[in-house]
Amino acid sequence: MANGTIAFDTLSTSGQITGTAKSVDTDYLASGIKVWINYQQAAAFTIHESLNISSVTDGGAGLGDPVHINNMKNGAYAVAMCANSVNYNTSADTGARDGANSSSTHRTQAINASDAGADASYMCSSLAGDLA
Amino acid sequence: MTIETPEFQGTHLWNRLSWAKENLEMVRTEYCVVWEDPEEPDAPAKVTHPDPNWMACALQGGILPPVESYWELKKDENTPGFVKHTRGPELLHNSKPIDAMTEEQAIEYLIQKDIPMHVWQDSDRANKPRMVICTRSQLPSTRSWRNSWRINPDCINTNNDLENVA
Repeated sequence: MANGTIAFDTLSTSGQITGTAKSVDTDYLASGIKVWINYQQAAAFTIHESLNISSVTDGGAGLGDPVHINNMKNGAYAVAMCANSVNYNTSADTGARDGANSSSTHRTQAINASDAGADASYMCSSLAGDLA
Repeated sequence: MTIETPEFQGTHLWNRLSWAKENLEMVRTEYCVVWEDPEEPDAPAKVTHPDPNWMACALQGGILPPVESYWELKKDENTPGFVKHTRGPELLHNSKPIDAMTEEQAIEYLIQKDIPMHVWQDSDRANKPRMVICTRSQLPSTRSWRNSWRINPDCINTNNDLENVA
């Protein structure tokens, strides 16, 4: 099977498919991953890679708020996260519990075994949902 | 090699970002913005770091919407009874993209986009500094006492420094 390409508003194949459409408008790809980021909190706060992120605000130990370039439709999207750290047992938490997520930003939080904020060496999050 | 931005007005913003990710090199700026929220007096200073893919878009030009579009979306979201955004096409996708910015202009745009308006709008008239643009090298070298970071009260925007208050 040939590899497909994403060209602006259309997802298309290179044409080795018969009997079906060779392209689809990306509007049909609803509710997929619209935002993702991989960043580091520990040592030097660094954004490694991302899509649809304008900045990350470092709010304290373990706390980061990535801000979206293309807003989501509202704050009711799904966030998947993971975090790791070298020195302690760190797990990922989202700010959804305190209402910090909005169409323009989501909260990522790394916590240690005592439920205290702790910097993660890698913090990754992705959002699935609809865009504004 | 100079890459020419396609005519993007009317193209979905997310598709523009996909184009940028495929065609532009990331730009890692040394600048960051340190700020304190007067509505959270006990919180440590926050530090906003620009995303390198976003910075590439800002310097390239012709991709990002005007910052006023984000203010309008924020207004909509803060309206009682808000359910979902309906003005995305008008504000983000069909508005004329902004031209290329310098790194300094991009930081100013980012402040107005990503930092709450009540922090930056009258920060020059506050009785203590609550926002400072600085370089990463001016931040404390260790994060051991991260939750005690405060902006040095003696600091002004041309003399940036942080005080690490344990």
